[in-house]
Amino acid sequence: MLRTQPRSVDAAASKRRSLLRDTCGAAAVELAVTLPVFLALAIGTLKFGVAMSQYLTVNNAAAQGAMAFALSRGTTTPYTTTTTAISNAAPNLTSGSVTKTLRVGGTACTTDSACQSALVAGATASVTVSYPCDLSVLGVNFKSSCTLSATAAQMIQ
Amino acid sequence: MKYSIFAALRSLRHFWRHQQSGSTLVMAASVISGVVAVAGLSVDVGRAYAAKRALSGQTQAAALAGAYALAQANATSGTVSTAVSNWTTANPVSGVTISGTPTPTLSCVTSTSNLPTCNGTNPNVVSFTQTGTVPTYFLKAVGVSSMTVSSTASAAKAGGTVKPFNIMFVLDATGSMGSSDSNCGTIPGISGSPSRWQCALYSIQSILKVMPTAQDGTALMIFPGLSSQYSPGSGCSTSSQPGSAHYYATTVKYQIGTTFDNAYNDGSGNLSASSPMVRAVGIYKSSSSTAPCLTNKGGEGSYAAEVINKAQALLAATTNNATNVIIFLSDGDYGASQTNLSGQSSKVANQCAQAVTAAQAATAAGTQVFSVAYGASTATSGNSSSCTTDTPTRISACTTMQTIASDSSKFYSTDSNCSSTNQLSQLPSVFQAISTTLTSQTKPRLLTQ
Repeated sequence: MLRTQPRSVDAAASKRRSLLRDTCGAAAVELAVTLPVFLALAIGTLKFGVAMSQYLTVNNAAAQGAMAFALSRGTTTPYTTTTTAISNAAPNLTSGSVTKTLRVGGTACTTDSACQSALVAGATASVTVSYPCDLSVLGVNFKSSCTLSATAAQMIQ
Repeated sequence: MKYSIFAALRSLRHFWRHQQSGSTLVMAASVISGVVAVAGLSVDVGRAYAAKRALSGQTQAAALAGAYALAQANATSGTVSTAVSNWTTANPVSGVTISGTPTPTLSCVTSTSNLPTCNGTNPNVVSFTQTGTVPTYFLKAVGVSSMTVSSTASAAKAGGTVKPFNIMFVLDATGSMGSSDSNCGTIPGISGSPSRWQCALYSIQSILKVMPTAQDGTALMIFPGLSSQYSPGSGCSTSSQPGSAHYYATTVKYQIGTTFDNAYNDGSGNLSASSPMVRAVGIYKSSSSTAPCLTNKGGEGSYAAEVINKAQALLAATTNNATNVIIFLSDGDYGASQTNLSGQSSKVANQCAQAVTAAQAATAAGTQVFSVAYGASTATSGNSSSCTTDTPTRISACTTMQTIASDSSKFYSTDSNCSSTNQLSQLPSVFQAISTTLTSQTKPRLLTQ
């Protein structure tokens, strides 16, 4: 019998062919391909859900803060009253990371005495609440320096 | 053609039944699209919820702005509508498109207690409803391009059946109030540094300007008291004020006038010169001031416990179910002689502490006691020592004034050494603040739907 190919080559080719047909471990390979996608989706959904929940909280805190600010004319502690109202309306946020900006007619005030003298009946009191959010999923940050922010306004009574 | 379709179906069936490699990828692709759809739904619904919260906040603010407009003089449904639409235009809700042009409705609500009185032509409540749409991102794929959000708010105008106030000013008219008070600032019509006395009179004028006459009656007591009843008439002169009498004298008259005055201003921030209260304290203006009928004659030393007790007794005797307020204006330094005290030896010692005890008794009886210190000394020893009769427990004039107030928020001072938590350098603004505190129950408020 004439051998045109060395036996070893033939065996290797045959093994290659059988390897291609072999379905053992296919599930593992498929898992390896789909798992990152599913993980990214699951973590992404979770992170986005957390951010959405925090956004609702920030919105609500801004509305509560504006209400407290607009009603605190004539008191000696309008700034403290308002910032406390915001903190109380956002118990699930890290209080140190919440940025609170109080404005009367567009001009910011940052102390009780400054806010007290700025509050005039009929003017617009507005409160902006900002909170950092984290939208990085598996090392990919979908929005770097992401900030949730909400502004609410009330007429000073 | 027929054959090829059947063949394709057969091979597809064969694939599903027998060809399993790669099936996970196919399933994953279909599951992922489902997961993305659900995630997208939650994003759109979440955004709609956030928009609804923002819309309801803005609607409440707009209703309160309308209630503010309704409480103004000559308010009509037109002025309220304008105020509300101005507000919504100036403070739009981002991401929400408001449908149509919503207008507020006015109504007379009597089911909630303590609202201002109302009738068919004089409404007390503004209601405002807004409906808008929030565009969607993911739900567009299934044909839903926007979601509808709606919010309603009602706000009652300011006023209400607020408890009125009886306000008793107790004014220190001793000689020491004639010292100049460099921390008082400038007073219109007074050249140079005003005295503590002028500063205190101007303080009373400032609060009389802003108090609502319809609700709040005011009366005035000065100490030392006068030897006979004094009710300042028109064109009074300082010589018409009777002389001072001893404390605890049977005939001593502390009150100026005999009633609570309800006609001290014209409702527009101008004092009424015909009011006995205003005649007593004068009107300081940059030009054509009206001089006060009262002077700080003094001459009997300084002793406050009796006048505080008398002020409280007079307030307690009122029958109009009002909140009683004493506004006590003094330098806080008491130390009258036994002769000045009509010989009552038991009253000579601890005169500052006696004043504090009297004020605390008034507070305990439900009276709100405000105190305003004019140049009150903080020293308890040395040349500028104050409250010299208070031994062995030394207290300063400043501490006396601080503890006379019902609480720290009701204490005011012109002097930073005698510090007040109410850091207001200008007394008119102090009294504006006191007045606002007293009238703050009259703000508009939201009603439940």
